[in-house]
Amino acid sequence: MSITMTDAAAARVTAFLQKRGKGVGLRLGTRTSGCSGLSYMIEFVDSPQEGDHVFEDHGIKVFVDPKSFLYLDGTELDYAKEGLSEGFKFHNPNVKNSCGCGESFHV
Amino acid sequence: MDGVMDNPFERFGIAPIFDIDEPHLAETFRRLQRVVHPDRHAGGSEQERQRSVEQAAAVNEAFRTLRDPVRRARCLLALRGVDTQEGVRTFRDPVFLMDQMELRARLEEAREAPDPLGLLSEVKEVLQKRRVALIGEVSGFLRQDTPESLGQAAERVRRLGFFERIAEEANLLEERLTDCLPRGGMD
Amino acid sequence: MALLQIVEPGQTTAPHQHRLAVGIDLGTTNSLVATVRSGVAETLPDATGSHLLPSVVRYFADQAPIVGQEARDHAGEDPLNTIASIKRLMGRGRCDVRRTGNHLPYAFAGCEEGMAILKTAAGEVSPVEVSAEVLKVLKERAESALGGELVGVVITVPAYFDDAQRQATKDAAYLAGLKVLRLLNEPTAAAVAYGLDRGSEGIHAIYDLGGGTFDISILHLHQGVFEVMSTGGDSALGGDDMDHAVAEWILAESGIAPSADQQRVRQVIEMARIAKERLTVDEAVPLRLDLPDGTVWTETLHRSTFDALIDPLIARTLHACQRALRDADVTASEVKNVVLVGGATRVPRVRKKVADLFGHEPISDLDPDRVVALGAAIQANILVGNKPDDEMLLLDVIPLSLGIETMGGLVEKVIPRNTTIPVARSQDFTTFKDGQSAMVIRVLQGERELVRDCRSLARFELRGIPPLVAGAARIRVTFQVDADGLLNVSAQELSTGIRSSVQVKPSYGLTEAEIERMLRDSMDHAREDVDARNLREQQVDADRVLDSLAHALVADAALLSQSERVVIDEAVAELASVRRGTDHRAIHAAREHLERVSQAFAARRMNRSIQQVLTGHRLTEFSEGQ
Repeated sequence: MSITMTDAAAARVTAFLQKRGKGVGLRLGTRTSGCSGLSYMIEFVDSPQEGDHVFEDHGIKVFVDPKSFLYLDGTELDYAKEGLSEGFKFHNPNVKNSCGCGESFHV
Repeated sequence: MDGVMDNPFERFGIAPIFDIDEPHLAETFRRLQRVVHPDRHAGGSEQERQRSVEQAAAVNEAFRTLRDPVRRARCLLALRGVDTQEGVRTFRDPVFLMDQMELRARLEEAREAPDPLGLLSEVKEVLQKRRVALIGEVSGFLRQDTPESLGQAAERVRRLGFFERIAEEANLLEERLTDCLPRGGMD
Repeated sequence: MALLQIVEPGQTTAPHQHRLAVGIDLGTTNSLVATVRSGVAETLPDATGSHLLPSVVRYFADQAPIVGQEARDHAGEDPLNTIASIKRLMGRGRCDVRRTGNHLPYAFAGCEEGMAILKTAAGEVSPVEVSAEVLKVLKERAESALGGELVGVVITVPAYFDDAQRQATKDAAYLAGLKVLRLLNEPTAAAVAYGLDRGSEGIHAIYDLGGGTFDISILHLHQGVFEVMSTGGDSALGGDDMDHAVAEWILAESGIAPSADQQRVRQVIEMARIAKERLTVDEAVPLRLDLPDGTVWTETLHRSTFDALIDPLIARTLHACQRALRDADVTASEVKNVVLVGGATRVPRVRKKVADLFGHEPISDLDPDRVVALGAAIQANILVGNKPDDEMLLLDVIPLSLGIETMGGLVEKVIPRNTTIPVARSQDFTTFKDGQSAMVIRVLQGERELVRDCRSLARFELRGIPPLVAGAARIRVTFQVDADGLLNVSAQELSTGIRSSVQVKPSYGLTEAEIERMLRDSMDHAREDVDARNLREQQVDADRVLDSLAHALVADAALLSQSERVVIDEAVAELASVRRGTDHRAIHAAREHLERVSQAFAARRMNRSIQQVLTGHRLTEFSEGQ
């Protein structure tokens, strides 16, 4: 039972939190929508919600609501550059297929 | 536009008196703009954005009237039904007229003087003194709020108008002298 | 696989509906695009890792234009078709061009009235079209970096740009297929990038000397509100002029006639630019030039010589600073910080002179080339609604007075310079002949008293004045300047209440028909489908309206009666349904319908917010025991 981060992701999150100047950590979650069922979300956290699972990796607190956790357990958050684009990527062992755009997936 | 019938005091939710709380006025201005400014309605419909431009313009206009003592006094007199008759009534007070002529003469002198900027700043200092004194009187007359005192206030506002015009000329001259008339658009 | 960004709490959108927004610094020499990703503003590089896009466009007879470094590299070989520094011609007329003509080697098409047109191998092009080419490249760069269509952009303009120059910039964005959320003044954008709102209350000066424009803005910062007190500058003064001053010196010293061929002049200007850049570090630079007679000219340019060459230019900027201070009614010592922006502020002499004027060392922590784009990106991110709690508000001013022509070729000011925008002012006119049904009003921008010394923005023809005896009609003309600094005019006859129609003839701008034609031409060129573009535009607009209404309905449902709510919900459902189709006209109609039925709701929300401000204010007044 865990959520982890690559070194690259942790370095970026730390930098972003610092620049933002406030926030207690990061929220990872899923929402039901998109072309293939579920989609990911990453948000800054100013105040945790009741029932959140809390993980700590590389000194960063990660908050996940219980429902999302069902789909995210074992996920590793990565940061990558692809062509001109750069951003976060979910390595999620629960995913069976995704829509190809990477924003939504099926479990 | 509702600009003409607009009462700036009402728009800022403050009592129509001359001696207002200036920091409070500025604070209300910022808070109103946070609500009405077009940047707060960038996602809205065409009509909503147009309304926001009109509202923001009206708030700016009201603030301009309220923050400047002379405009504020003119507005208060108008609200009380007193016409300041600026540009209509002439002055018979010889002392005031002499003072005017002298200040204008000194401005003319400055044009040719060896130290024009020094002379100019002297004139501006005199103008500022006159202005402060007159505003003090206006404040007093408006506080008395009798038909007679309002008439007196209107008369002082007329005088302030004269000094404002001289001050404008002084500023224009200063710009000429420092060779910084805007070259905007012309080169 | 798309890469994700961290968003503000609660701001996660549905997939493929990110509110992607960028800030664009459309510069004289270089242009940049920036965005906010995971809360941080950053400029976006091209595939080779270069952030700056040279604002240079090279035209060909038989192929699409090339933009950027490659175009700049070949400027020497093909000077007439390689257009640089086009920003200097934006919103300019033929006469303006003649005045600056000695610096611009292009061929101009003969067109006595109206805007400057350039003759190139690809035919006649307007400065608006040239700028649109630069913007298109930045748009493509941003869309491939962000992985989607842009919802909107903030484009920066010099604070000192007049109405015609601003309108030209907006037209260029439209041609490039960009939705402009706001034209933002460059110094204000820089202040935002510096985060001057946080913990630096007080008065600040932004000194922005770019490639071809100079701006000075005096700002008052208070609790997240950036209030511009005054602005000044010169929209034709910048680092380029330093290059030209040095180039003229090289021509004189080397004995080359200034009338030498264009290619050689370009070569000398390029040499001057490199010398200027090296002199920011070195005390002297060696110069070497092959002369036409086969001999070689060599010379050393010392920094002291360079300083003497550019001092007159710096003096002009300092005059503008003093004037801005006077307009703001503050002294140099009251200014808490002076921020340097623009590549030309790297010149040590500039830094020294500015420090002398304000009495303390200026700040330049952020890259002066990028800071404007970064500020624009921060503002764009807020305007598309990605940061709803942000308190930041930018209150700018009109840089040059607006006036109208009166008897005898004189200008009567209607809105003086440094008036906070948006602003609306009215002026009444009357007829001078019995039964007169139309009149012409000329609008000017500038500070001088004579019409011929000001910029003629437009002529307005008022029609439909009711037939009355001379002097009986009273036509109230309202001049409105929006937050972009753009002028709008409306007119009404007061005695009868008839709204006169206003027909605008911009003196240097493009008419709507011309813009539409250019748009069609450019699409033929790119084989892009007009319908496809219309559809995308309508979809983006529909999403924007649905998105903002959804938020409003969550926040303020209580302001609607049940029956009103039903009408709005139906219109929302209708728009959402046609949005999924491909009929752009249907989407347009459904959006307009939704906007109509929700208009009262929007008005109520605004009034309620105003009331909240005012009642909150009264409460504090009472609690202070007045």
